[in-house]
Amino acid sequence: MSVLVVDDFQTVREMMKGCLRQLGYQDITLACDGAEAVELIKSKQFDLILCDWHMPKVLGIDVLRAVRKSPAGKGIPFILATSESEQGCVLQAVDAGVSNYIIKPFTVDTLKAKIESAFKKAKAMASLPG
Amino acid sequence: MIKNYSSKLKNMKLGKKFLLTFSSIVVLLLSVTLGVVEVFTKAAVTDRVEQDLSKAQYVLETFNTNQIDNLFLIARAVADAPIMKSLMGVEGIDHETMLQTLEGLSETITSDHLSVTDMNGTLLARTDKPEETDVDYAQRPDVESALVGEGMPFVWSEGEDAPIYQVATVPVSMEDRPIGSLSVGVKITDETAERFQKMTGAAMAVIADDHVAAHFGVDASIFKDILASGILEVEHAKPKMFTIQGERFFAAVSNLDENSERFHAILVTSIDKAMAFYHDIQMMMLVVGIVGLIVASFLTSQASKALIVTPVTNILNATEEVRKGIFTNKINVKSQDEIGVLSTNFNHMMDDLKSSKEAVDNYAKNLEGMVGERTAALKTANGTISAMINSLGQGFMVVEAGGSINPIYSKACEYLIECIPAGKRIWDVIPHPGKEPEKLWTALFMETLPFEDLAGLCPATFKHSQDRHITLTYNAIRSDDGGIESIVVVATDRTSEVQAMQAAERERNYANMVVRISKNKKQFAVFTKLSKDLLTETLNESQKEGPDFDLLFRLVHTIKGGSASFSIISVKDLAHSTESYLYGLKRNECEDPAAALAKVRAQSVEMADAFELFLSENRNLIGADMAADTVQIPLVRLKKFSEKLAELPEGATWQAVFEEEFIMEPIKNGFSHFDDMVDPIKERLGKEVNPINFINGDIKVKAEVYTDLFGAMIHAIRNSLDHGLEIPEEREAGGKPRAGNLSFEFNKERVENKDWLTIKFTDDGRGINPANIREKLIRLGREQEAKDLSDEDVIQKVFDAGFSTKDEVTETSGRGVGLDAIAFEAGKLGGFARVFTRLGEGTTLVVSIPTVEGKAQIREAKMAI
Repeated sequence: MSVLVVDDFQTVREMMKGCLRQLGYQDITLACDGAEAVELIKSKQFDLILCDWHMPKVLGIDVLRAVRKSPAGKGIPFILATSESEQGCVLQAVDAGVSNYIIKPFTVDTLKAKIESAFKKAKAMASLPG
Repeated sequence: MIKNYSSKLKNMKLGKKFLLTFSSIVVLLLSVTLGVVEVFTKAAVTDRVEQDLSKAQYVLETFNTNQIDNLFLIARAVADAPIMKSLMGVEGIDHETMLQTLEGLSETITSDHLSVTDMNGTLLARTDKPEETDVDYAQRPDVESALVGEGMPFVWSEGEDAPIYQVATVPVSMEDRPIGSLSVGVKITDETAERFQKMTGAAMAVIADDHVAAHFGVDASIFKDILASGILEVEHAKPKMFTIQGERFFAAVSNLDENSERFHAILVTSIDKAMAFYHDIQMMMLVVGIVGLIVASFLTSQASKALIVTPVTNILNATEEVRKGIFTNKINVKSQDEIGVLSTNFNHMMDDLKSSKEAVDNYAKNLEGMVGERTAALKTANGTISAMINSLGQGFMVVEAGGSINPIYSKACEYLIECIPAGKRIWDVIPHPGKEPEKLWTALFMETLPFEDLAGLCPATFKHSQDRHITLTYNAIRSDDGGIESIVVVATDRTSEVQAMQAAERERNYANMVVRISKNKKQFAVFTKLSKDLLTETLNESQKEGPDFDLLFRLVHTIKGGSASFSIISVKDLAHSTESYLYGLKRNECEDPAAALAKVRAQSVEMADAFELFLSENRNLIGADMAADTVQIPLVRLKKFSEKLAELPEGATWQAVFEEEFIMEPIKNGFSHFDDMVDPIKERLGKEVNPINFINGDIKVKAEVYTDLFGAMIHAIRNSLDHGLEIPEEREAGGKPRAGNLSFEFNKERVENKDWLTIKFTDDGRGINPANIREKLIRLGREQEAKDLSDEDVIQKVFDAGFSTKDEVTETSGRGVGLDAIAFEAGKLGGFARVFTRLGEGTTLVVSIPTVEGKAQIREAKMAI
């Protein structure tokens, strides 16, 4: 199971990595901005993506769109991480096909629940035609 | 009657046509009637009863959970009440006083049971059995749990005939240590079951172990029989069917107490009673069918009129009258031919029609009465339900797909959300923070993400004009296929809980302040004096035309730090607010600089007033000596001083001895209160930090000389806490212990014939990344510096005024004030500050200043030049 974590703050990246480790994920790739993430997606197949929303230049939604456009990207669980519960960005992300969202900072338990829900949602999305 | 007509018409041509038309209409009507009757089949009724019982079960479980939650909130509020703590904290308080207080509290919160135990689980007082004392409750699981600081819900009964209580037991704590337990309980009685039946229609019994402890709706013997069938062993599931005493029932079980598994509720609905009710309706339908048949025969007669045409003028005229509803003018029968027979029969039929019409009228009258009765019964039932929901004090609104609110809502909404919500759209009633509330609600109903996740985006509170604290929760009502049919919004007034919490918070702050002031009396005296100066300077500077915002900002920041470290919340909050305005002003980012400056000026006055008020309110606590520069000297020290004077060595002066004994003091005294400041900050940031380590803290210095510098070192600690030390998870990931380390090392050194005092402040955090500093310099338009300076030199830029690589501003630090204050204070004393860092390993801040003697040497050297 390979996971991609995208965030422009090192602290947040490390925190997310720590949480994922606790949940048993070993193969974790860190990207420090959207552009790096988009490049990584081209060369590697990920099973789960955890991505910050507000980043310089390439935004979270751009990463999301790039993932959904990629050949096998329709069914990849994509969790958007925001700093506060901002309705606008979540609804925008829903339109772009996000699997769930999470508010930073979060606990391991919350992350676990969100990942489970995201896998369900992504599975349902992948089975849709078109 | 029908048979008569058909036998006479059997051999006639017209008769054949008549028969054909009439019988087809009869067959049609009968089949329609039978079809309607078919709808109310047995199976449909049974399904409905089962569904209703499932709903009742859901209502019961929701009520039970809410009840437990409410009991807990109340129990915690009571346990946190200062009066409770002071009662429990007193050794050997008499039972009478304890009981009186408990009874007063119990009346306030309208509980049926309120009791407290000491740390051993021995009962101290109990309101429902006041005479009972010295009972050992230590074995009760809820009390046991509360005594180790946790607490749990519990259902509790003291025997077969004793009442059942639903109880919430919580610890009573003092300084975070439990000193006893407190239980709040409400009785579960027959009335509880009765109220429940009125609300849901289901009969209910409460089972304690294996006996019926309370019940309503059906005879206790029925519950006993259901119980005997072993229903409790079945996992909580769908309702089950039983036949008891010849009557069929659906029964369902809910667990009332998951901890003990001893208390259950059985809900029961009679299938046969429901059948009887629907049977009545069936009868009504049949009656309607028969009436229809008669009307049809009347209509058929009209139709036959069209078949038998003009030649039969008499019949035509007569039928014309019949059409008008006149049944009295009979046709004169002249012949016995087909028309004659028809006329005779027509006359008969007219008689029959007349009586039929009377019958129809009667039925209609009866029907009206029956419908009236049913409507009245329904109205009463609806009224009862509304009254119950209204009496709950919570606001209930049902939002339909599309966002509009159902006309039926609970009365409390009008007060809680300050409008009549019926027919309005939810986002017009409750302001939503986002721009697209309609889109959000569409997403909610369609569940584009799980309901709970999207509901998290809806407002959680309502801003009430009277400052009530209103919370909002969202619950989905689902149809059988799992889709969301409607969403119930529940508004609850939590003001009293919030106020209780705020009061507790205030008390805690006050206690903190007292502890800190008494622990650090000396620093506090210095702080008081310093603050007065700072406040005066702030006041003067802010009133100037075109004030120096950098200076003001530094002043206010220092006031904030000092007042925070002694928990003087009023001054701290004002300083924080003033600082925000100044931050905007100094960076030229204010939309309305004039208004911001006015605010700064006004708040400078308020801050000075708040500080004066604090001093006068706490004069007793602080002590009159705080205001003046008074010193307390222990007798032993005076004695030691006189001994030293008596044995003065060659070359020494008594001034030197005096200074050594009374003026100089261990340097760590100037830093010891920093630990108190670290605690609340690290908690807020979710970081773990060990107590500060002092190395060579016993070096003696003339503290008053360094007061400003030592005070400014606060900023170094704040910077380390905020930016340097990582959160525990990140530290672990980097192979470091979870808790961060901070240390102060003090040294006196002699360099180039001068005495220097060196303060090294070290953290083992992530270090400063020179790349970040360069990036920031470039952003500030200082590319050249970023390019030319070495890594070691570039990080010294952290001492520049207004320099911060973090974009967010926290309450602790991040506005770029701090390290520059240290450099400034060191400079004032003729010294300097420098920072050393190793990425991933930590940062050391070194401040070197000439000692008082060293300073004299420098002055001499300067004069020599």
